[in-house]
Amino acid sequence: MQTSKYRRLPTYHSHNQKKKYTQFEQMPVVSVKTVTTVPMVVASDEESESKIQPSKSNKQQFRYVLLSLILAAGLSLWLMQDSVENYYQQTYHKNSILSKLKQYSWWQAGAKAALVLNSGISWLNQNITSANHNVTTSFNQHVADAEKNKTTITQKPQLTVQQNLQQTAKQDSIKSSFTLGAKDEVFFAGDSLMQGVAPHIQKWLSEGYGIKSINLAKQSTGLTYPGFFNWPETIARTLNDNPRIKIMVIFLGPNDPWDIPDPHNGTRFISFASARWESMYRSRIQTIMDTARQHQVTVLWLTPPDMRRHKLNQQMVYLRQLTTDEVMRNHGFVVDTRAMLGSNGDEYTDTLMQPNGKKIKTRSADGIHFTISGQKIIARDIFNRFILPAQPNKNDYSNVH
Amino acid sequence: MCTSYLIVYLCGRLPALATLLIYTFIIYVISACINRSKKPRIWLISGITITILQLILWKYSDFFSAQINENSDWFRSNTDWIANVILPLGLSYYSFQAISYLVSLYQLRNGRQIAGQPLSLSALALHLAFFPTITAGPIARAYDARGLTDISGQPCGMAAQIQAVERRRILAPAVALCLIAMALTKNWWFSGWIGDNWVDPVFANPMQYQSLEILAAIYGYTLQLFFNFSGYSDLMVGMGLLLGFRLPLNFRSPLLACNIRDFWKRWHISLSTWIRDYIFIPLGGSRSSFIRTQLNLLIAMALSGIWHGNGWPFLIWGLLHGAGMIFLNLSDWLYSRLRHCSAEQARDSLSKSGRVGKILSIIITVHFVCFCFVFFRAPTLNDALMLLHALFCNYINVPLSTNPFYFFSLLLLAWIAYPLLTRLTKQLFQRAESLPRYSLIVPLLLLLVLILICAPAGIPGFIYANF
Repeated sequence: MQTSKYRRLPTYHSHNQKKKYTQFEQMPVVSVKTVTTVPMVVASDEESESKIQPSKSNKQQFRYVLLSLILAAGLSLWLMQDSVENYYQQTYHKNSILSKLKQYSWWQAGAKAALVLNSGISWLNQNITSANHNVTTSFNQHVADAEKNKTTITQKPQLTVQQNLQQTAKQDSIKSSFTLGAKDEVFFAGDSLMQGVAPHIQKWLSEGYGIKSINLAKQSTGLTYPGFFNWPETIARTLNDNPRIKIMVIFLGPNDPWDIPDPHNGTRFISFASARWESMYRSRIQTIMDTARQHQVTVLWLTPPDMRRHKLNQQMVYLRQLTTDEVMRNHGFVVDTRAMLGSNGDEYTDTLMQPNGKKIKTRSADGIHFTISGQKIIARDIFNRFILPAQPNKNDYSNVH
Repeated sequence: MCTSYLIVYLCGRLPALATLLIYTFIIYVISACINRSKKPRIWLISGITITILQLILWKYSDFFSAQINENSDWFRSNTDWIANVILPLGLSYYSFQAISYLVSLYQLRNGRQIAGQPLSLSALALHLAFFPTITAGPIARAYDARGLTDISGQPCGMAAQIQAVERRRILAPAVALCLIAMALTKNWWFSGWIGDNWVDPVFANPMQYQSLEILAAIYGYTLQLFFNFSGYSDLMVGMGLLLGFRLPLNFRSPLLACNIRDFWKRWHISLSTWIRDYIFIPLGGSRSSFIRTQLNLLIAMALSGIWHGNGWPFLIWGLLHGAGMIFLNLSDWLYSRLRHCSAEQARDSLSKSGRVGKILSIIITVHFVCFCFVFFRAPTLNDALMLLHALFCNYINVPLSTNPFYFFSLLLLAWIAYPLLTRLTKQLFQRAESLPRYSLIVPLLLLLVLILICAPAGIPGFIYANF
């Protein structure tokens, strides 16, 4: 083996070996030929000299770097001021120091520039999306919906589902709102709690019945800070773009117990649980329910479970009551997640006692999120409410655990 | 170093910091013993054992507890604590650098020449906890290593740099700024966009997507990983330059590799050279029989897989890469037998055979790599198999929900432009320092605006920080 100029042979290497390492070849000596594929800077004499004998003093270099970084940071803040402001409000629930700059016109220009750029990008994105949509539709018409050649699979009796349905669905109207055809879709919206729950239901739907679903759950979102993430708008857009959505499952709350920035007066906040706050929160739920009604979509609204932190738990008691009331008034279906996770009323517990005496841990260490078992318990509860097509699509029902 | 300790403290509070300090101290004591004692070998082995033990303790406790079915509440609560506290620490990188340092010292005792002296306690602490490399590499070496070079192709052992006499100065600021801008583009914009739009939804629920979309997700994930990790490495190299350190380059256009051996010389170089020097060669490297060599390869690659995380998918990923290497060696051997040429001529024969051969070899390599990464991304083996099942079965009666053709055409364009881009960036780095200094600021700021507007919302994640 040859030695490179950087590395002497390790001592345990026997010198009379003729073989090379087959795995790692010698580093190629950089020549003009190899340079074309190896993005490695060849140390030119000039450069190595400049490293040894720097032409510029360290102070100059430092000034240059500092200036560049300050410029970059300043430009970012100036352009993204609205996003930064929203994020700050959402995290610290007060106005950031940037809002004091709002009185200067040069500062406002940044927000306007960002708006122009953003609308340009979204216009471009919309065009791309619609072009893609056309391709997708024509592809689906010509190729995907070809002659069906599926093998029929013997169907297993789905007793558990049926029994559950008898308990939950007492009227035909309710039954029809939870009936899913093979072409129908389910839409999941929510925060990090939903991020844990939705994938299980999605899996069971697609594997067992070939039913598609859309999951837009995003952590740290709620209804209080539409500037940070606007659920009513997102839901309206999604229902518009996907006419096949039949059921919408929503799981929000833990990110909501905060003061809301006053829409009419940017410097003031409306405090949590005040009358004004409540009417605003209700109106946002109302907007979502109205959108769903227009699209004839069934709404299944999950209320947050008990939380370990006392204050948060108290806030959830209030939010649960408020949400339940508003959703029921708009003819949605409310699912209380407390009992199924083992908690008794408003008391937090993180384990569920099963009838056979076995304990299941349902909540994660932070006292907010769920363990995998906890996620699956909620997912199972939701899934059992659906009335699914009689003929399972691919696999049988047994893989739903 | 202080920054690094502060970050560790913020992530993990006192226990993590204590662990780190104690660990650094232990390594220092052992290194001193290796230098002085009569039996350096024993000390070396004990040092490596301690390192591996603590690595196993922090990293794989979840896996073992799942295997043993350990259900006690105490252990549960503790694994939660570990997951939330220790994991952000990038422990594996510590361990890697420590083992590499100890072995270098041992070799020094045995007469090998290295650039630089053994490190003092504070220097060692800095080397192990150097702020840019703390979470996800690149794995810096205390002493120069073959194949690991900095951005200007120089060897870049950390010891010599840490012990340098003259005052530390900012190196190549223009290159560093370009690197950081490039890193933001790759990591935040490209990687985020690909992940959000093409990869995550499909991997979360493969059965509802069309075969073509699944294929797009498989390509997309490899690309996402590449952008994410090479972006991160660029960022760290750039930061290192600003702090006056030359860190090793970690990527050299890996998606233009003409075979799997070549791929590992271009992808996560600091890891592959580490595996070469501290696993493959001590196992016997390629000095024994042909079959033993292949076995060593397989072991080394399997270990590399396990290092990335616990669970079968990672092991399978490593084994697949090992198998790919073995297949390559076998085909080289066959070729040399059939053509009656030396083993040297048989290497990379397909890519040497001309333009068509080269393109073909790159396409085959990239596809093999993409296929292996399916196991890397899927949370369980079952998920990986399901995804592959969907890839081969979902071509009838499954409507498209996105337009993979759009993504494919983007990929093709990017791939054709790729060699040109690498050449351009290389030239940029060469000339950056000689250009008028303030001429770069405006283009970089424009690029920043573009990134700010186009990047998906949210904080970019570093995929490799989890390993």
